[in-house]
Amino acid sequence: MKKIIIIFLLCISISCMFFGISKYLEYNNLNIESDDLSKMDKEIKFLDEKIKQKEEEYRKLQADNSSLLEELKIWEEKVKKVESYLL
Amino acid sequence: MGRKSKKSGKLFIVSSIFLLLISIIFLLAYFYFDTEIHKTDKKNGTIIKLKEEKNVLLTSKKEELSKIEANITELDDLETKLFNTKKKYYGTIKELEDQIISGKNDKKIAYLTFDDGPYYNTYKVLDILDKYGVSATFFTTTINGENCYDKKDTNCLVLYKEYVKRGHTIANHTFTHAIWRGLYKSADSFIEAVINQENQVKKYADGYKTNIVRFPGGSSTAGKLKTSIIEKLREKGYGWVDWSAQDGDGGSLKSTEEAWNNLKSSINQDIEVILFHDYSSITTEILPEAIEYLDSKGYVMLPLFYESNVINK
Ligand SMILES: [Zn+2]
Repeated sequence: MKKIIIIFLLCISISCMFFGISKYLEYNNLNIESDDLSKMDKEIKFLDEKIKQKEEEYRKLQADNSSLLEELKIWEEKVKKVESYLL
Repeated sequence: MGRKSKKSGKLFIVSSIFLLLISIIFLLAYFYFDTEIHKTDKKNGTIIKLKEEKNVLLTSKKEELSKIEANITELDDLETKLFNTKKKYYGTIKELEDQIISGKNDKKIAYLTFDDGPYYNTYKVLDILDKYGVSATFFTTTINGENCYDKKDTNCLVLYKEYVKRGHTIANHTFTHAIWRGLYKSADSFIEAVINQENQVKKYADGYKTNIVRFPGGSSTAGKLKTSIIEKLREKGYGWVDWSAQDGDGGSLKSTEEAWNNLKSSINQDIEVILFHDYSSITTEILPEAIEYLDSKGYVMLPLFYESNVINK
């Protein structure tokens, strides 16, 4: 009788061990997402600043080059005109 | 026997408790890790979602940035683009010339050229050309110095920028234009006057490079020196051109009628290089009508360029 009880308890403890260990392994293999959100936030902030800076640069260039843009347009028109004389 | 059974009873109890404890410990471990797994899953889910959102944001920001950068590059390349457009323009004129010369195209070209400027009167000439959308060629000299010969209190060197701004070709008519005072003394003295004028144009027209020369008085004025001058011009990368038609404004024109007669009688080729002078009031007077006349005869009026068939090299 005692033997049966011991064997029963042994079985129970072995299965508990099995479940416990397998859960542990499952936990151990779990991919924990690294919390690099702050890194992304930093990158977004950096990009925002860069966009602002580049927009400023673009606006300045545009103002500086307005006459050049105008000139380019005129020459492009001239090309079209001469091209129209070709066969 | 009694002692033995007592001992085995104790062993049984100890073993049972031990096994039970083991079971409980592992069971607890099971639940602990299970809960941790659920917690991590939930946390992971939130992080992944946030990351996705931030990734979308990052991508759009990067796109925005590269768009602006592309715009900047385009503006940065504006000078190159302008240079290429001008190159294309002259390339197209060359193509047109070739078609005309080979008889395939019945269009005609008149290269209007104005010598001896800049003068104050040049503004009038430029305005007329602008009005008709015509580009021409100005063979410039510094014979008159800094101020306008026809308006002594006005700086004439500013006109160099004006030529370029309005899309005309600046060409070289030598710095001194001193036909009877040393220009044709030797090939070297001629070349020196060409280079001095080249530097003058470069200085006052923001680095503009002239590469077409017209001999003051025409190439025949150089006499025996002509061949050696041409040789030296070629070495320096210069082309040169005389003219095939004119209204005679370089001589003693008496009336617009005379100018008209000269001009009309000299125009008879499919490609004409017409000689005028910026200072001539008669030319300025007939210029609008002359442009209309040339237009009616099928001529398109274009600026000269080094690669043109009419430029001698
Ligand atoms: Zn001259």
